[in-house]
Amino acid sequence: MQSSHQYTSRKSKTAESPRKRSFPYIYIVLGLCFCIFAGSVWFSSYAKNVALQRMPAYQRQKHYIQDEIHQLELEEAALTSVERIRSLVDELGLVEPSEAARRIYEK
Amino acid sequence: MKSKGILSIRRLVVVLIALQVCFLLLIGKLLFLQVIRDVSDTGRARYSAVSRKSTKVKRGKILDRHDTVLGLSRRTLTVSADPAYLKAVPKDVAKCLAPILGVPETQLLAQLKRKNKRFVILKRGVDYQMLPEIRELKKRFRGITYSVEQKRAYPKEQLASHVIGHVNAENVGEGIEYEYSDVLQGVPGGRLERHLPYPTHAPSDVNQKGYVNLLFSADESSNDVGYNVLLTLDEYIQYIAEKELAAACEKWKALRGTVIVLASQTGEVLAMANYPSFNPNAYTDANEEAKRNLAVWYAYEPGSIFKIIASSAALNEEVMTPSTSIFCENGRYRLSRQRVIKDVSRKGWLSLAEVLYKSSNIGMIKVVQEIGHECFRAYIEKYGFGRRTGIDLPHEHSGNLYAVKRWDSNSLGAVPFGQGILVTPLQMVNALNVIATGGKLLRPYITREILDSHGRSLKRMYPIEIRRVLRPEIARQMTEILVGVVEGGSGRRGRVEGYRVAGKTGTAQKAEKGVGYASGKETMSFMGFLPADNPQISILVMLDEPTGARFSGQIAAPLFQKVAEQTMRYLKQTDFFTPDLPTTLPTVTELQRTQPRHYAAEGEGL
Repeated sequence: MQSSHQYTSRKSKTAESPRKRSFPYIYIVLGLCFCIFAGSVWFSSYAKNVALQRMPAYQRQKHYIQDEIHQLELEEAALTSVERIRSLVDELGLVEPSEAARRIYEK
Repeated sequence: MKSKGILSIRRLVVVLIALQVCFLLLIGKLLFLQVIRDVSDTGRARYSAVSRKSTKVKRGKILDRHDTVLGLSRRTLTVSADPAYLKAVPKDVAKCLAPILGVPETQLLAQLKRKNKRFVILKRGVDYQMLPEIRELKKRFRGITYSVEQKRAYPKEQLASHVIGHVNAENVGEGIEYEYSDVLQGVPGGRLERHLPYPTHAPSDVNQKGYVNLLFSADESSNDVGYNVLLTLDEYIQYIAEKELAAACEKWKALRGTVIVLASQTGEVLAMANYPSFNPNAYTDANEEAKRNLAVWYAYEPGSIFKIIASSAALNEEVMTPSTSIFCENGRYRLSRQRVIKDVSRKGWLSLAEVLYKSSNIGMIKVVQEIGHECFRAYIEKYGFGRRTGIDLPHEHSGNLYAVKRWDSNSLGAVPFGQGILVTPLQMVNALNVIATGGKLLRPYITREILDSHGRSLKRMYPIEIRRVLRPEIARQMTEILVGVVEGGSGRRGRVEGYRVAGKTGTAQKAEKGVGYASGKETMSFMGFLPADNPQISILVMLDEPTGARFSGQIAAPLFQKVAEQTMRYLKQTDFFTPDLPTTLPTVTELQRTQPRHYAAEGEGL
C-alpha cells in the first residue's frame, strides 16, 4: 500500500511540471527590474547632467545680482559717509541745531 | 530529488521578489531625489555646494556698529588673449573689444599682434556687469579668455583704515582684514574659534572647550560669500577722532599721533584714529610709516599720565589718603650722586591729590618709596602693563617693563612718573578705564559680531572683566582727584562744558640712542573719562614730537576737549547707550577657562 501511494503521488506531480516550466515569469520580472534600473540610471545621469550644465548659468546670474547689490551698497556707503554729509552741510551753509532749538523741535 | 528542485525554485522566487521590492524602493528613492527634489531650491543648493570647490568664495564685509559698510569685495574681470591661437583678424577683434573694455583700439591691436606670445592681458579690473558682452566675444573669437577676480573696495576711504588693514595674496597683512581673514573668507568651524576667544555671558553658549558655539551648519558653510565682521567702531566718532587728530597734528607739526575712544563700561573701542593716515583703496601707494596702527603697535614712554598707577596703589593699599602730605623738596631732589630729579616749579608740602594736580615728579617718587617698589610693580602688572591687552587686532605690542623688573635707583628716578618703561596707548587708556569702571580691568575689544551673508548673527562678543584692581571706593577717590586735575590742575584745557571730566596730562621726554633724553622732543598725552559720576567714554590722545608748546596741557588737552565734546553731543543726541549689553560680566575663572591656546603658549594674556 505504501509503495503504490508513493507511486501515485509521484505520477501526478510529473504530469503538472511541464505547464509550470512553460511560464518563466521570473525572467520577465528580472528583465523588467533590470530595465527599470537601467532607466533610472540613465535618467539620473541625464538629470544631473542637465543640472550641472545649468549650474554655471545660475551661478553667473547669482554673482551678477550679488555684484549689483554690492555696487549699490558701496554707492550708498559713499553717499552716507560723515565726511560727505559734513562737506554738504558746509557747502549749503547749514548749522547744527542748538540745544534750545532741538528741545523745541522735540516738543 | 525533483521535489527538492521545485522547492528551491520557489525559494528563489521568494528571494527574487523580496529583492525586487528592495529595488523598487531604491528606484522610488532615486526618483524622489532626482526628479521631485531636484527641481526645488534644495537641489540647486546641493549642486552649488559641489561646484563651490571650483568657485572662489567672495570675502565678507567689514561693517561698523550700525551696519555701515567699511569694506567689501566686488568681482572684476581680467580679459586676456592668446595671440598665437587667435584666428580672426586682430583689427576686427580690437574693434569689437575696444568699446567694451574702454581701451583704445590701437593699444589692443598692438597686444593682439604679438603672435609670438601665448598670453597677453588686455585689461584688468573690468566691471563684472560687462560679463555677458565679454562671453559673447569669447564665443565669437577663439583665443579671447577672461578670469573672474576679487577687488576689495573701501567706500569710506581713509576712515578707520588702520583698523581695517589689508591682506595680500599670501594672506599676510594687518588689521581686521588679517585678523579675521579666515572668517571673511568663510572658513567654518574650528579655525574661527582660534580668533574668537570671547565667551558670551550666557553659559549655555559656551561649549566644552570654553568657546562659544558658532552655530555653523552645512548650509551656511556651503555659501559662496564669506562671513561679515561687525566692528564696535562708530563711523561718526571715528570721523570726529580722525578729523580732530589730523588738525591737531598739522597745527603742532607732530610726527604722529593717536586717539582712542573706549566705551568705559564695556571696553568696546568706539574709535581708533591714527595720524598719518592712508587710503586703503590705494594701499600699495601709501607710505609704510602711515600704515601702522599706533594705538596697538607703538610703545612709548607715557610720562605723567602714568602717575595714576602709583597714587591709586598707595590709596588702595591704605598707605596714604588723598590728603596725606608729601614734601616735594622745593623742586630739586637728589636720588644718588649722579641723579637729581627736578620738578617744573618749586613745590614744598603737597597732599597726594595736589601731587597729581600739579604733576610733581618728586612727589610721585616719594609715593613709590612709601609703598615699596615690589608693591608698585605688582600694581603695574595688575593694571595690565607688560602684557598684551588681548584686543582682537594683530601685531599688538606688549610694552616693556625692563626698568621695573630690574629695579634700581635709576628706576626709582624714572618709572613713578612714566619714564623708563614702554606702554602702548591702548594699554594706557585701558588702565585709566580701571578707575572709570570702579576698579575693574576690562579686556578691550573691537569686534562686536560675526554675521553670515544673510545677516544672521553667528557670534556676539561681550565685555570681559579680567580682574579687580582697585576697590570701588578707591576708584571713586581717584576719580575725584582726576576731576581736580582738570578743574584746577594741569589739565584745565580738557574741560568739557556740561560735564565733569576726570583726566590727567602727560609730557614725556623722548630718549634717543647715545644721547639720552633729548630736549625739545616730547610725547604729549592726555587721557580722561566723562561724565566723571557715570563714566561713558574714556579717551586717550597722544601726539609725538609736537612743536610750539612745552606742555601737554597746551596741546593734548585741547584735542581731548574737542573729541570729548563732539562725542558726548553725539551720544546724547542718539541715545547711544541704550542698554543692550549685559549687566553682569563673566568671572575670572570663566575667562581663564576660555583662554585661547595661542595666548597661553606665548605666556601672554592675563
